[in-house]
Amino acid sequence: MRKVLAMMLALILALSVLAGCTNGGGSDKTQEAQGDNGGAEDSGSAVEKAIAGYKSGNMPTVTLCFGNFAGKPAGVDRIGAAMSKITEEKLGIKVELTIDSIGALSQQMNLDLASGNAPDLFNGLLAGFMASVNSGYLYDLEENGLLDTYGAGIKDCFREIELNGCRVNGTLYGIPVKKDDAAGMFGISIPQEYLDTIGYDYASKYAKEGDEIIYTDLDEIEGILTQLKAAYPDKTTFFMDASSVMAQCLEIDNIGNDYFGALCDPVNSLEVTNPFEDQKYYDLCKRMYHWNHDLGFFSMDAATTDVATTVQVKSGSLCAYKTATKPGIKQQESNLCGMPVIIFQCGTDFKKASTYGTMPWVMNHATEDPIAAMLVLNELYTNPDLMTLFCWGEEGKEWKETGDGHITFADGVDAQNSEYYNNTNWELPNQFIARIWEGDELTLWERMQSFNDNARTSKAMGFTWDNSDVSNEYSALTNVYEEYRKQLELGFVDPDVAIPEMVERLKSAGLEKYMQAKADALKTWADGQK
Amino acid sequence: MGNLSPAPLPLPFRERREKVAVIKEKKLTPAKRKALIKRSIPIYIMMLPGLIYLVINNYMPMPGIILAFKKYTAKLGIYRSPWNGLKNFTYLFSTPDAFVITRNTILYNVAFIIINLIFAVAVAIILSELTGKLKKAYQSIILLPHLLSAVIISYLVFAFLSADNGFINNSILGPLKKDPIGWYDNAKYWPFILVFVNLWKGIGYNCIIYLSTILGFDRSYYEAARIDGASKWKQITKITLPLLRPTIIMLSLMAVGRIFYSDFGLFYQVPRNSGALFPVTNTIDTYVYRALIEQGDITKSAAAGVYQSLVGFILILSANLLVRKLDPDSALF
Repeated sequence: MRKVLAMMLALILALSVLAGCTNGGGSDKTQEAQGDNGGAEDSGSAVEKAIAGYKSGNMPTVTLCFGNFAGKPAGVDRIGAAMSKITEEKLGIKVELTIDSIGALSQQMNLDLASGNAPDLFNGLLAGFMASVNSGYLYDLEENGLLDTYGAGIKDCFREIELNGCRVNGTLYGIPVKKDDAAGMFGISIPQEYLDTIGYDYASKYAKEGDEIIYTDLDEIEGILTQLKAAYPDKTTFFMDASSVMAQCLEIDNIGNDYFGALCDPVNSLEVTNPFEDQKYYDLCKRMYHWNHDLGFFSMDAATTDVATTVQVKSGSLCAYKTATKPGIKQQESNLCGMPVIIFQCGTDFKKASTYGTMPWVMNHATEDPIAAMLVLNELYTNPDLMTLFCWGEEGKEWKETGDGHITFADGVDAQNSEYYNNTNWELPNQFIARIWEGDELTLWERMQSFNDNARTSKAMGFTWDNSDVSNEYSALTNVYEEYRKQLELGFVDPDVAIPEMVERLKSAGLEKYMQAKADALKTWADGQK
Repeated sequence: MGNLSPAPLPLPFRERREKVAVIKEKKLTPAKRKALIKRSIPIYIMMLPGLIYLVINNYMPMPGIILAFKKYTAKLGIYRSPWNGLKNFTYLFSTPDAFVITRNTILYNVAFIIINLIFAVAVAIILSELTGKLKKAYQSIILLPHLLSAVIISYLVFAFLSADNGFINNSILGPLKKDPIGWYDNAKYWPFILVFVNLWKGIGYNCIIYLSTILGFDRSYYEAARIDGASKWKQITKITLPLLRPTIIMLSLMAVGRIFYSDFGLFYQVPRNSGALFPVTNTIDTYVYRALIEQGDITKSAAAGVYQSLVGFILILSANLLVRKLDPDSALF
């Protein structure tokens, strides 16, 4: 009897191993051409025809996906249904929404894209825009005049040069999001309370009344930090998030998304040079070495800690940190730090060549109905009700009117218990048309637009690069740079010694070959722009 | 080994060998053979779940190896993508770091194999000598670190080694009036730290098989030895270790097969990705990770996997060959 039982158990176990594998295989989505609706047809009537077709026949479903930091919101199905209601009425298309944490999704997205099961529309951040393009995962948005015919509203949101930021070798693979396209370099954020303690008169430093940023230089900041160090010996005086030092401090354009060859004078010149031998980089590292080694502003653990700067300020262990600035930054950082902060800025407002290609909305190459997907995408860029729903959730459930034009948490709802509060609206297609949350000025998006328009702009705007021909060099260079990056940029080693050493090793890892390939691609691109 | 004759095989092994010999020489009558097969059926069924798992998990993905030789595009799929020769492999060798990552991977693994073996056998012997209620508790306690994820271990290590708040700098070096040490900036300490952490993490698990083998030994050997007046130490060196030799050789051979792999968590998470430590913490796996994290190129990661398993395969075959020359009974195949 026991023997029979044991054999049964073993069989059941064997079967369950098999059963675990039956899901997930196969579902081959056929990807048929969408018929012959070229751009020749009048766009308005083509859209109407398509919508009429959807409304009379079977409604197609378009799936949307993006990642936040908090994980799947409880209300995601309800918001998805509410969004679907709008698109069903207007376009005859159903919408399904998936939201999860970026970390979980980006793993999943790579698998889904490889197997052809990915959502129709998603933020390119999830699998890396250039990586997705290189792997052939993305749909050409202009195939058969798709964008021109069905995405007219999208074209009104962007200038041609901005859309070009999502072109790779001439093919348009994504639509940029409406957000801060420029970044104020070398912003420093310090809680107001600490500045009051050392008696620093920040109020008189603003260029004009109503400004939110004090424009200054690093010597002034050094003076403030020295006083802060004396006033708060137990706190860490200064810290920078190590992953973004070059990107947020220096007006150097890392075209092609790496620093192995960059535009060191990006506003005026298209010359690709080695940024690590540039005076700007040396000055930055030298200053940080002085701050860290001589003045002791940094924690000894700065290179290994992974606690976010704002979290450190909130917990009371940090006095000042670096951030990139933009309109609304003061409010944003104050919220994150849990106390009012003063924002200083030591660099320029700068717009990189890659700014429009970092997190565009893209279409899966295996999408079943590209026309339906494009119509939904167009609606997301142009329909304020739909975008407000997408950004903030439902009126009465997540938010309510404040009466002065803002919206805020509905009664009894806060950031913790809200069923839909992603705080990642910069990732959504067009937050500029959504309602404005209490705390931000009603003019925020107008100021943002003029900030974007007035920033110093890289001459290589719209240049993208596929480095797969020199990817061996890229692997080797990345490993060398990673070895020195934090040590140098957080001032743990003397740049007079370490920079020449790093440059030497980068060169033996193929820096010159890599830079040459990048420069050649840039030249080809520049010639094509004329 | 020299003139010492190999220790007699434990009884069950000898019986099995004799039986195999009998079957091989076809001395069985048909009826006896039928009875033998019938008796073996439950054993085959018991093997089935593991076998199915092995086929699904280790054999069915095998065709994916061709990815390492393809220029992959999702539109064309794995099989229709164009061939790319050996180009996917070159990035592992064309870097000036190739020597460092290969050296680190192999030397650490050699150190791990030797040190883990010595300590695992020692702990297994100690545990086997223990009696009483606490034995189970000891065993569970030393097994515990094996069950922790590398991320948690990295924070445990950080709690000791953090320059500002770490236990060692504050509670040991501080009272001794010694200068605090920037552990994560000094590469020279890390070969020892990593070997120690690996030992601490793995010892409970590594000793399990040795322990269960020791407990399976015929106790009459020890009784006879005791009657003849052999000390505990003599019993260990003359009975336990010789009997344990086949197991030791088998487990070491299997470890040799993985000598080109490194425990990613140990080399990436535990040193907290600190650049200053790369010369002693960069291994093949961490190099591949850093190189591909932004490119997401699955063909190159497949190439790295093929390279590692191929070298492992060759090494395990040669090691086995060597063992067979020295001691044919202990060879794996």
